[in-house]
Amino acid sequence: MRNLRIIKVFVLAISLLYTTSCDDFLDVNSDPNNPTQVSEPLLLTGIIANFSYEVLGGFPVRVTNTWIQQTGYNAAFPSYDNYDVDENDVNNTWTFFSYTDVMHNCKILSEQASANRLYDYSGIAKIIWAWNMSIVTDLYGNAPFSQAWQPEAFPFPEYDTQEEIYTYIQSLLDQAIVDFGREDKLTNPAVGADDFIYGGDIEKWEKLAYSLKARFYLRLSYAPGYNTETQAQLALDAAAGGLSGNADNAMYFYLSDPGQENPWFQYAIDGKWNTNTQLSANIVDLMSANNDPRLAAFARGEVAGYVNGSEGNAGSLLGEFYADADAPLIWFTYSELKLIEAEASLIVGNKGNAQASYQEGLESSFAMLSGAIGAKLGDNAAGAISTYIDDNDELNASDQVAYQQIMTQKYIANFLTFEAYNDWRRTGIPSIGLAQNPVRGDLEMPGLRFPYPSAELNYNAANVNAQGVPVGNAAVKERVWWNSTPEQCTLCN
Amino acid sequence: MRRILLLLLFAQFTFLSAFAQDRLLSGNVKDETGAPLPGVTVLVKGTTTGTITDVDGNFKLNAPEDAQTLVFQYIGYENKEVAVGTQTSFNVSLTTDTKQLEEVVVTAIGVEQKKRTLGYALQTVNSDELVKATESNIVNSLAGKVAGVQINSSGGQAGSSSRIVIRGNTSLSGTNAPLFVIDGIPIDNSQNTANSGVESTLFGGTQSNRAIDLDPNVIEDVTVLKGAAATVLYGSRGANGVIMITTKRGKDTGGKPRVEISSRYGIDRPIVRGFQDEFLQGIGGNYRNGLPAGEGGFRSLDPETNPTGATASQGSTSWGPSINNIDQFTLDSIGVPQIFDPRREFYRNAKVWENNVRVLGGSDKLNYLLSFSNLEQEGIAPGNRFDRKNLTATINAKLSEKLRYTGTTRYTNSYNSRLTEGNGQRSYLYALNYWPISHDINKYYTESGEYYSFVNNAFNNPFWLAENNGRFSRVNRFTINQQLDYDVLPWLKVTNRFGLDAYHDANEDHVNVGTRGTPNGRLYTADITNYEINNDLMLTVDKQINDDFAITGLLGNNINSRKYKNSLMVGTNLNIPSFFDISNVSTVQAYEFDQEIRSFSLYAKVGFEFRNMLFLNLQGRNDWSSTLPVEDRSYLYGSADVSFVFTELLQIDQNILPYGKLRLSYSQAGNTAPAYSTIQTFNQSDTGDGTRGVINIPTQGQNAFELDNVQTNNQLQHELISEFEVGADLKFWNNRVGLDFAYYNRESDNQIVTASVTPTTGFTNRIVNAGQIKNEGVELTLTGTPVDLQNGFRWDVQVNYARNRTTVGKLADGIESIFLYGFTSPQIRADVNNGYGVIWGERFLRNDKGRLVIGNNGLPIQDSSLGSIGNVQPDWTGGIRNTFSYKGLTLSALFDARIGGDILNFDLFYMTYYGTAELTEDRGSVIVWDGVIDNGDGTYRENDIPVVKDGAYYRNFYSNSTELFVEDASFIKLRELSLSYNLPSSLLDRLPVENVSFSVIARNLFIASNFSFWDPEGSLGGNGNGQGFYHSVTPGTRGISFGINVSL
Repeated sequence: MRNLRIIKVFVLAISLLYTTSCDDFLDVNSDPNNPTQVSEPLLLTGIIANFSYEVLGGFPVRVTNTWIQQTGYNAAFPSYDNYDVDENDVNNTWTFFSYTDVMHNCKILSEQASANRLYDYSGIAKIIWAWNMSIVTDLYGNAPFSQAWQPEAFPFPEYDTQEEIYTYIQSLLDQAIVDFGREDKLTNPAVGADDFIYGGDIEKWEKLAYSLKARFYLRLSYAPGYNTETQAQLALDAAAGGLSGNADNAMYFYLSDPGQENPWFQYAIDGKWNTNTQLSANIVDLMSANNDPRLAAFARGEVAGYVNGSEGNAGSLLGEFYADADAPLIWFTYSELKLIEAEASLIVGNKGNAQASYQEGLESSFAMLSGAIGAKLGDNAAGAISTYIDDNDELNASDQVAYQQIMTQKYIANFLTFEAYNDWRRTGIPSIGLAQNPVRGDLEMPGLRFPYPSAELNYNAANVNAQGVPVGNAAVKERVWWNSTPEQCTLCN
Repeated sequence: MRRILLLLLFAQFTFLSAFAQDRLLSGNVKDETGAPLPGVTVLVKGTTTGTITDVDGNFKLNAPEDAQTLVFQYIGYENKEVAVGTQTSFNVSLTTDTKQLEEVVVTAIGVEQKKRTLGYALQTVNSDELVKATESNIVNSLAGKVAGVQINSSGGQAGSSSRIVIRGNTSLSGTNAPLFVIDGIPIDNSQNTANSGVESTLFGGTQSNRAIDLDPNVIEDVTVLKGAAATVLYGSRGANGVIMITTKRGKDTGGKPRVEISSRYGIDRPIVRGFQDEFLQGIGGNYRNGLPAGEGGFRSLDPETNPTGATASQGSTSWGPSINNIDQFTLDSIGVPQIFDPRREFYRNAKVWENNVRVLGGSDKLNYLLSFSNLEQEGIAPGNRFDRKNLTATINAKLSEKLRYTGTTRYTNSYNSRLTEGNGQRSYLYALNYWPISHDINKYYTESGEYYSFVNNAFNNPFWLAENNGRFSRVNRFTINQQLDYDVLPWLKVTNRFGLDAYHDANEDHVNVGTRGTPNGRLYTADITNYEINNDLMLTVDKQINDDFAITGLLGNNINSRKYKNSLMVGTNLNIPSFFDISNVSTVQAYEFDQEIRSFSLYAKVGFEFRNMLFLNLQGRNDWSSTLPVEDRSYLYGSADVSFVFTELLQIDQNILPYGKLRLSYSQAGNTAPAYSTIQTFNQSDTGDGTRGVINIPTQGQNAFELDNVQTNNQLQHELISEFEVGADLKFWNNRVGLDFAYYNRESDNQIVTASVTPTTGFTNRIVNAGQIKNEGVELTLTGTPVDLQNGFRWDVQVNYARNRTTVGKLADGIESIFLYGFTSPQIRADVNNGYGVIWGERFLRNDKGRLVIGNNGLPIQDSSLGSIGNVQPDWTGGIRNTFSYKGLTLSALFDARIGGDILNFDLFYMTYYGTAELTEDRGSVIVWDGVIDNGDGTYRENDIPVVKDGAYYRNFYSNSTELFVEDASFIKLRELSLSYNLPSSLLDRLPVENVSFSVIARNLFIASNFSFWDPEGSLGGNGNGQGFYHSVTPGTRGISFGINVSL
């Protein structure tokens, strides 16, 4: 009997232990390291920091800038300078930087902020979302958008065409503008120190939205089925609401503290990676032929150009204005907007406006760089600048030549930006030859797109294969949709 | 049960010593065959006076005047009583006791059971075999000794981790490591690194697995529980098998303390090969000496335009001239360049010194053991060392007739100083493997005192790295067991066993100012704490119902709680060089990684015995786990096993088949989810370019968060492992030959997988119940004594063989493979079509006949997509130990083999580029690739285009083809060769010592392998799932050590 009692006590003790405290005991599975809810300012900071460092200052620009030979990558070939880019190289840009770090968080912020009526936040989120999506489609072509970021409903998102994506992008920018103007919006917390671009100046964000709209309308100027004049007029209409001076320039100011430095500095100057990224002989030749004083600002120390793809002499490292530790990263400049207006005005036949905008675009580019040029050329700077402007601020009577002037100035003014690559693909101006030692024998011109990334080939195979783009490096010679009919550009030739 | 206790009691008498002294009795004890029996207990009946026989079977005993009878006791033999009378000399022969020849083993939860009752396989390795391994990591000492256990050392640095996997990989993306249990309590065997969660092991290498804190000197034996039937009572954590360690205990020495001292001194050398020793630094056959401009920088290129030979551009590669073909310009300018062996210059003879002192003793009421060990181990790389101090105290006390207490406290203090390995300039192997033979590795300062390497800014000098950088781990660890046993009734016992395992690891990573790649320096300092509390409360029943039937039973409860915390500070830019304190940095980033896992379980076991012949065991366990969703946190599973000792029924001639058993079991085991898999969270943003560029968050005074890239799952269910096992245990020819065979088929279903998904869903990974992985295999252990002579010569053999096949049944919907470790290319992954441990990377294009497709340049064409280029799983593994003993002399050799399976030699990839690999020694020769050329019309012709294997060939083509760096990972090692000698008692008589033995042990004396670097054991990912990734890890070592053991 005594044994039975012991067994009873034993079982009772265990069951008591369980019923009274077991659930509490086991409720330890909420992650102590990571929050489940995050406020709008914390999300916005993350989005801006990621988008700036990983996308606008990251791999897409590093690569495509060598393709348009503003820079070169002076290393043992093959490298991306020789167009050696495959599905693995381009994987991070798609996988981590764009679809997850930036755009998914833009979607979350835009939904959360809308629900909380913090429409300034949702507006900014939509601008960056649209912008990043444009970079994805400009690099890879068709891409998931309408079925993206819905893992339960669409575990294998289908691809939207680039044409569709551009309508979504314009729509997002429109929504952003609407959000900013909503009367029922709440402003506590207000966008402020969490906004590294404009410090909470929503008016400037709205101008940026219009400026991007103008850029994207013009992007489709020579797209199949699109009317060049119509796109130019749409761009002009949008540009009217755009940036109104260099004070409106969208720039991300980095700091010289370790781990806070400008992405170009980290990538190409400080030795953490290497110093292979150097000024290209192409842009050096282009600018020095014209005594362009901005070249001094583009280069660190003596100006020298590296011949893309060669095993030749080293070029200058990138200039301090662009690649010092605390240099700004340029998102969007007033000068680009003016040159957009100049191009659009020329297309719609308004040469007077084209001339005015062109001149403004040129002068604002110099205004932005005058300090940097002065630091290099000293007392000679002012004279060199005014001489150059005097020599170059007049559009040629020939529309074709004028178009060359505008696009060449835009190529220079957009130094180290992704947009310079898009403009070159769209117009072929300035003319860029193949780098030496191209990795593929069948290349006739520099890389025209990225291949689809390995993540898609592995985990969304059916949908990516339906796009008909060659797998891997062979893709770089395929044009994206808006770039598929170059003969439409009558002004370019 | 009583019989077992009796056996234990006998064991405790083994080291009795005499203290009453009246009559000197002496004699000799032999077995039935006339061979001397050492270790026989000789007792004066009715007293505790006694002694044991020496290696020759001799004994001397001071017996009291009134001694009537001597009792001779030896495990496995019948007791013999001999009347004393007036005799003083005794020649006694003992006979085998077949009833007592009953192996008792410790099974799950520490339950002792007769081996014959078990319906599943387990295998035990005793202390002698462990010590012979002369490995500081207990995991390595098991290599080759247990069938079905695969061990892979991650590299040759002292204090490196080792992976141990039993019966193949059971989990797709979770841990496959078995549970380590010491004296019944689970302990942590994690591999911690200061920067885990911040930086991948790809860029720094790994540190040790924490089982390295165990002191091999106090381990009595290690029992490996292999299948699910054996481990079911350990629940989820035993799903990958269990390594059960039993430690040495005190003994009844009649009160007199016994002191045991062992000491070992050894030397280790690196196992290195695979480097060319003919071609100098340079480019295109032209010599460059790698010195900085102004410091004698010289190059032989183009004497016309470069008459002085001094230029800034040096080049780091070894594509210079042959030592036999140096151009006149160079000879005239600087003479014949000096040749070095950089690897030999850098690695050193590493010394190991290990000492252990044990004091043990006690009475029948209380016994104790105190042990102190000190290990000081140098690594072959300067700066690398592993030191360990272990203090163990254990007490067994009989508090009353019914209540017993066991308490053990273990303290470990270990220190590991490591060099950074892995991919990148901070890795010492990065330069060492590419170091040209014509450049002096010992010179790394210019005359003006400036640090330089063979090409400035590109590489670090390994000596400089060893002096300036390092990764340091200082561990303080307590492991405590507290156990009470209460005999309620002779057949009913209550046990409570409490365990605590707690450690603190002060873990730092130093990068000094001036380091190429991190010029401003860096400091990681991490406080890692881990504790585990475990309690088992059990009722055990052992009742003989009648002559035919017996019942055993167990009812228990387990409560387990584990908490891990890593507080990490990352300091960037050291202000004062060489001063590693967090105050001395420009910016500090702080991180916290916390994890808490708890479980509550009930378990039960019932065993039925019929005529000591037929046994049935039923086991079950229900776990409630904290890591599953609340509504699905409870899960039940169990096993049934049958054992049939057919020789009891058939009565086969003892000389032929004295013992034969058949086993059969079917079991299921549940497994739980990793912590925090059910609730979606945000992370602090980690802004960076995925390689080296980074924006530290918080930035500009603002914190930032982003959604976790891994999608959690609030519908998760537990995993389920099902295993069928059948086996036999046979003993032949008077037990001289034993054979143990097992076949198993194990299926892990509903696997919790962190599956990669298309990032367009907004996540890169998703946690799902999806995967299925199967393992099927056989294990064979053969033991035998081919020779056993009258004169004492004996030859014992043990053979272990195992073969395991892993198939990945399925992964998540639409997913055919998952990433395990590595870069985008190459990497290791699990793949539905190719199995587990697939080497994945760039490969050559093949036509439909499997022939290489050759391009117009005569070189194979790269396939545009990545694919499987190898598999790391071996075909079979095995070990053979031969032991020869003659009187006090024992010679033992252990061969360990792993046959089949591939390894990715990613070092070779770089070394081919840099021209230091031995395979580039054929440079200049011509090759015609075996392949076909596409005619463009769907037909192919045989390739006939010759290609010169020049620098461009190796650099631009060869080193770009990952497929060429997949090598055969097979090896056969003479893992241990030991010679030991026990001094005969005749020599010890006049000394105040009981036993003295000497040993000489050589480790890895012989290795046969096709691997370019010789020893294919090594893994950049340490003991993780991504095995077979050999890249910038320290080569394995071979060594010899000399030991002495003394008992007082």
